Amino acid sequence: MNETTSDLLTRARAGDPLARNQLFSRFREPLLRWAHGRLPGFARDILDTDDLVQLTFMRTLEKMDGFVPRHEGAFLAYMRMTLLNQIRDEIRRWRRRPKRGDLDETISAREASPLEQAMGRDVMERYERALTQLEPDQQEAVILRLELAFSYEEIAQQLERPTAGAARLLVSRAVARLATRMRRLREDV
Amino acid sequence: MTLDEEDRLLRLAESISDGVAFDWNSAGAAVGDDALLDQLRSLERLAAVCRRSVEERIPGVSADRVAPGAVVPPPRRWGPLTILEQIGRGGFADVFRAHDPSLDREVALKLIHSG
Repeated sequence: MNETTSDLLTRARAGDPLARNQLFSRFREPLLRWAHGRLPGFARDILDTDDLVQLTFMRTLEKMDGFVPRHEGAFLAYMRMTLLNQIRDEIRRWRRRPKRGDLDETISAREASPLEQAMGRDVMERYERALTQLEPDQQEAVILRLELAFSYEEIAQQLERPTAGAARLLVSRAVARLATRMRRLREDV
Repeated sequence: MTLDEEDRLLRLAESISDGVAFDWNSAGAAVGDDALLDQLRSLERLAAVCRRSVEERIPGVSADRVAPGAVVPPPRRWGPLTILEQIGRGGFADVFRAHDPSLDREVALKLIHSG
């Protein structure tokens, strides 16, 4: 039987390398896919997405002393937030680098991730802000379904819901509330 | 928002969650709030972009989704080497700490992913 994420985290923090590897194997693939769409053009040139995910994972384990995930999906959402912050740090570092003439004309395009290019930066900022205003379960439901394209069966397993139908209802209510929050944020501008 | 409008909003949110296409013109009349409808359209677009990204073939990531919760155990032995632990994972290879009995010391073993 597979160990729970919570048990693996406890062992990984105590320095157990096997637990660390098992945790990483468990979450590597969805995080890689998520990061692939979020990395700006310049970062994809200079960073290996896998290295970024791995580095963020190790740093997260070192820093998350007090974090106890309520369920599998909570850890994934936590890692997603940490990765997002890491990508923002990389963008800030890129902006502070010495400028090199005509190359800078392409900077803004290269700073945008595929997702930002498709959605627009203002929409993505509004989305991220509205997401933080939802209940943790709703945030995780939106991230798992809309961003990571998990099936309802997988979401039920990750968020400990009894059925896929219950997971679907959770996601739908979260999406409706998210849209309402985004609308309010747009009115506030 | 009336209960009826709330119910229609939930139906639209369900369609976005399911990834099902629907007629936005009639949806506008159903919710009766253009600003809210704009946000729903944004969420529908975001879900579609993310779905495409998830389905895209990424170097170093299996095309087959690994079930959440699945554990990928490292091999125990490789030739004469005894594998002690995995110490790294890259897009194209895994790195292990291993013991080489002929040298009687620890070595690093890099195994390229298959496929």
